[in-house]
Amino acid sequence: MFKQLFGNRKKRSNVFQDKTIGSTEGEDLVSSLNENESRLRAIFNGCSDVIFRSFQIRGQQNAFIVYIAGLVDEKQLEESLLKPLMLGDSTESSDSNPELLSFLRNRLITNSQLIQSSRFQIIEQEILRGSVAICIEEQMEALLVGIQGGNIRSVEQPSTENTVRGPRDSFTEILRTNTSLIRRKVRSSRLKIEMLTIGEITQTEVAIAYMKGITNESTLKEIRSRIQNIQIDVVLESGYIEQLIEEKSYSPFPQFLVTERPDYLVAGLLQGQVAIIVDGSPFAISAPMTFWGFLQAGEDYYERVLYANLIRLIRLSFAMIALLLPSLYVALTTFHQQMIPTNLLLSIASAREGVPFPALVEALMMEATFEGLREAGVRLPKQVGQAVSIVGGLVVGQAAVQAGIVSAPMVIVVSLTGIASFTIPRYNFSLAFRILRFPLILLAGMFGLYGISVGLMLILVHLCCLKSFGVPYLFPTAPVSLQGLKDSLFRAPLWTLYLHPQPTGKEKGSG
Amino acid sequence: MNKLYRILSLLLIIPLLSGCWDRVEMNDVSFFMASALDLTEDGQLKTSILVPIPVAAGGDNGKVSPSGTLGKTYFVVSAKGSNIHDAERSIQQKISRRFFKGHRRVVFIGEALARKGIKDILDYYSRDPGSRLRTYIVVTKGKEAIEFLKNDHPIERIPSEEVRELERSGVGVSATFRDFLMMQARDGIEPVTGAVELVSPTGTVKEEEKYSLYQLSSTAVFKKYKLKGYLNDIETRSLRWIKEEVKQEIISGSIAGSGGNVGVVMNKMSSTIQTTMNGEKARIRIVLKGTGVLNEANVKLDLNQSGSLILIEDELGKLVADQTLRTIRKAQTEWKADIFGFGLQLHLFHYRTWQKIRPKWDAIFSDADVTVTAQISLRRAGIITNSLSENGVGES
Repeated sequence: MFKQLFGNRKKRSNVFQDKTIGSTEGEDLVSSLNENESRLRAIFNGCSDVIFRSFQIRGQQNAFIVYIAGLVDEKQLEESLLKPLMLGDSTESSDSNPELLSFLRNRLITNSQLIQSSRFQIIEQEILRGSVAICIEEQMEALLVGIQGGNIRSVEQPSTENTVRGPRDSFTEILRTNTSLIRRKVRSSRLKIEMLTIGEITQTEVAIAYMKGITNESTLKEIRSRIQNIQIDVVLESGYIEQLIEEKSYSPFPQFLVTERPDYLVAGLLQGQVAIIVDGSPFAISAPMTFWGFLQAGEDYYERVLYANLIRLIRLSFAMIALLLPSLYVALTTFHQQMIPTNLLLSIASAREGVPFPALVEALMMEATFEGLREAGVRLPKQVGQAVSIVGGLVVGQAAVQAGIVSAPMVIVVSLTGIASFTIPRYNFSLAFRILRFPLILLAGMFGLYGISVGLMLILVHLCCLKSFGVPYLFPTAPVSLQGLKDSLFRAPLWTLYLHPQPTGKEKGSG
Repeated sequence: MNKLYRILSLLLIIPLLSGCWDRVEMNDVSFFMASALDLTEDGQLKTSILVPIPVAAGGDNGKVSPSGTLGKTYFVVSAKGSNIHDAERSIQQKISRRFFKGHRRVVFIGEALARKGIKDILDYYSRDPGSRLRTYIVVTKGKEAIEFLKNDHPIERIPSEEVRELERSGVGVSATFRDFLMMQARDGIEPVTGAVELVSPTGTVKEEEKYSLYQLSSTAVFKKYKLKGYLNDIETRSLRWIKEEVKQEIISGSIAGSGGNVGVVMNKMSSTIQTTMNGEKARIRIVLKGTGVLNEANVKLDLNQSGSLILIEDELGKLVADQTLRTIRKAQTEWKADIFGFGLQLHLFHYRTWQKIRPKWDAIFSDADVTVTAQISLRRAGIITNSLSENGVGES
């Protein structure tokens, strides 16, 4: 029976297998312009956003260009490509056909990104990436000019990670913009950015960035090979990559830093992390990451040391509140009344008088309601969102207390828990605390403080086992590293943090 | 790893199989805030408990009103029985909610019961795991203990809280069950507890007051688990000074040769006890030391002169020594009870001697030769120099 319950998972491939549709593999251009055009039209059959435009190069050779509307900067297309090709002096052009292409390349086309190819497959890919393909009569090769443009979002303030002090830029959906934002912060050739293409259909560009000499080579190799081994049709967000290469999919704790702030990503790179940026997503991910790293915000380093340490302490205690407060409340009120100070106990007893549900049910109900309100607040349009938060937070809470359905202390506990979970700077890390809260409440409702201790013990055991690309998750506290402890729960002054952290223990501990 | 997960997921089923036998909702608990133990006329034990009535939440704009129909914040239940559990069983039959004794603060012992002996009661309180040894034990002077539970207090919602606060505030002798048991168990000291009275708040006896206040000024002296008698206000102060329990105290008295009286706020109060045996005769020397500030001086003395302060110090010292000596004499003659711990000094420092005289200590104590000296030093004379004169402030 249990074999059926826990049967081995079969490896499933979610790759779209049928490659016959629109396959252009191994085909080359021919000398006939018309045939080339009809071939390309066949490839892009039904793609109404692909533009074909025929013209004559200075009144001599027939030619046409192909591009995708919106991916190309049309103004630049006219100014720097079509005008010089069509309008220039015809005497200047070389008569001999074989040299026409090099003439165009060397004299006429001023764009910097330019390649030459005879293969339909490459031409198709380049067009899909926003290049303009130029095919000319009797030429066996096409020119592919990169003038990507169109409407893209500009660099804006981060919307999910706010800081009082620190840079205000954030990643956008364009990979090149994102890599440039990183490069602007690290003007060193040691910053390497490798490009890969993932996604059988989407052909998404993925960049792997790392600092040579700081990043552990074996970690890098591992991450690179895992990404290369990904077989998937669609990559829409960096989350796809994260989930496909992370080690423990069923751990509530994330193993990747997810950020839209270049400064934070760069800080990670300089600590030896490997960053992965996916075209089309403003969220970059980077690993290896540790428990303490998730509790740090960029501001910890921008603000002066005393304040930064105070904030870190508060953050940790609020993280603990977010994890434990509801379960502690349930355990203390239903099992360990002697542990509550007498006067507080009398107040709580008064508030609980007349409440129909046991504290456990009350807690679960309110926590679920809170999570629902939060989810609604995220999903709803901005104009409605405010109304929901007011109705949900004030009216429902107040009314529920007045109607005697829930007790006022429980409302305080739940709202404090909710606020506390927002003090965790990394959103994906706070999700772990939100999930773990529920089993802890259940344990507290069934076994009291004993249950909570057992639950915490299990969490601790799990954290000790967890590794992010070979780095123990609880580094530098377990295993202890005195150098690492300078920047864990507390941060030593900046002038003492002169060593690069070696979380992987040089080369030996990785894998 | 996979196997571990399988085992863990099987373990997860266990919580669902077991019940929650320890779980009890707060709505189903009645908290004991205080108990009162009395002796009935037919020799039975009458146990009374004070249970707070939870205030129902809700109402208009957070206005609170007590739930139930009584309109009070607490109620008192009593039952008679041969022992405490017998009585509690009867009480439980009257209250549906389960008892919870962990928050009991005070246990009042009726005077009659205290005189009969509290050995059985101490056994219950030290044996029952639900009761706390940190609970204060007080003797109700002159009245039945249940009267103290039923007395409405103007400030506290739960009247017994006031007694606990008094015990904690350090105005009189405070003893928890733990303290009492420790004093009882030690050689050479007899246990004492605080004794509480119900007094009229304004002191006017004729006028019918709606409520009374608790006063903690006396000390109940026990010997062989039986109440022997009380020390009054001043005697209690002497006792606490000897035992170094007092942290701050006001001493006032008239000063001979100064034509008036003074009030001194004492702090840093300490004592040195020396007990020596001279054959069958004990010799006890007590030195009380105290530093204080002269905060009230209705005297015709030039306080700029250091001699004046010395005069006051000496006179106050005599006063204190005299009071203390009288207190010790009372314990020696009336009860033969060494509540000060003089025998303990012997026990600690002259163990062989102590072993020899141990069975006879009560007699030896009552016959002991006691000398008390008090050394009081005054630091300042307040923020003005001399007493107000008719000419002006501070001139002599």
